[in-house]
Amino acid sequence: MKFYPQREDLRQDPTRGGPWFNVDVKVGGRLIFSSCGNNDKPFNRFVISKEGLFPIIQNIISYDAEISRNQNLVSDIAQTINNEKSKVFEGYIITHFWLGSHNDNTAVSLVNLLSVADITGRSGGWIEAMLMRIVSRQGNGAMAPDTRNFVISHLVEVGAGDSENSRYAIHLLALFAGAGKVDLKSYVDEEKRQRLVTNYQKFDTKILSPREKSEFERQLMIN
Amino acid sequence: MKKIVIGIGFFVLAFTANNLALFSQIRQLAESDNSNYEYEMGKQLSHSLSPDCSILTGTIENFDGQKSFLQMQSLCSEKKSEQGLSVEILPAA
Repeated sequence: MKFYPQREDLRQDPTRGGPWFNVDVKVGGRLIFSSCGNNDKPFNRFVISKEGLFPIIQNIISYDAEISRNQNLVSDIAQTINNEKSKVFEGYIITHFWLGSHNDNTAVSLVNLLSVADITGRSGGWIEAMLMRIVSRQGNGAMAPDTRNFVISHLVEVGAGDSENSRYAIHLLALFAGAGKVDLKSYVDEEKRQRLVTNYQKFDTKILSPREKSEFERQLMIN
Repeated sequence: MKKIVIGIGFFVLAFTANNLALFSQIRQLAESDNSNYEYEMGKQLSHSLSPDCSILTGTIENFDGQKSFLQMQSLCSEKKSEQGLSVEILPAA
């Protein structure tokens, strides 16, 4: 018997139609779930009955304990996303970054992710938002020049590449250009410029403001 | 007669092609739904890996309808182990 959202569930978590959504309840069936909140008002964030996902979830729990001790593990993330057939890991890691502190290390991890991982559109949007936030920081929290160079040069590589992720990189570069955060001429040679232009021509420019569009095109000498 | 056979042949061909396309679309939608569900579970898991949450496993020992289901929801929230559902803490490593 499968259970679908109930009024009470929706109150618990309005973002996804209740934590008991799609749970198969049967005698002998196993569940994996979270119990959150204080004793007065505990609640489930998720309840999963699909046993095929249990090993992935257990791996992620171990991974999360390790990643908080060893940040170098972050470099494995992109490969893990590509190796995992399920999208659980991708959803986990993007949220992990979103909930964490958005600093230079995060920016490096996120561009590495764009460089290697086959990510979904939803993750692309989150990565764009986080990178834009980090790059826009000013004063004491401003990005270090070395990190900025690393981030921009990697975005240029991805934007000029053949992967589906090139659209996120181009979008970010156009946002940075429009905000006066980058001068692309110092990051591209003629070959990269041409490949960026080719990918940009396939890109939906309607999502750019007139300023972002004109500045990006000016820097890449389009038209 | 020959024209009728050819006509039926074309009809069967078109019908099959149409159904194949439809099945392919249904399969793509199902795969997309599954991937959205898994992505969402990953997000909720990430939120749950915080000090105010525990990740637990449970086995359903009894289930007799909606009453048990509501009882089970309550048990899964309160981290108890009672008749109808056993609950244990999942090792974190």
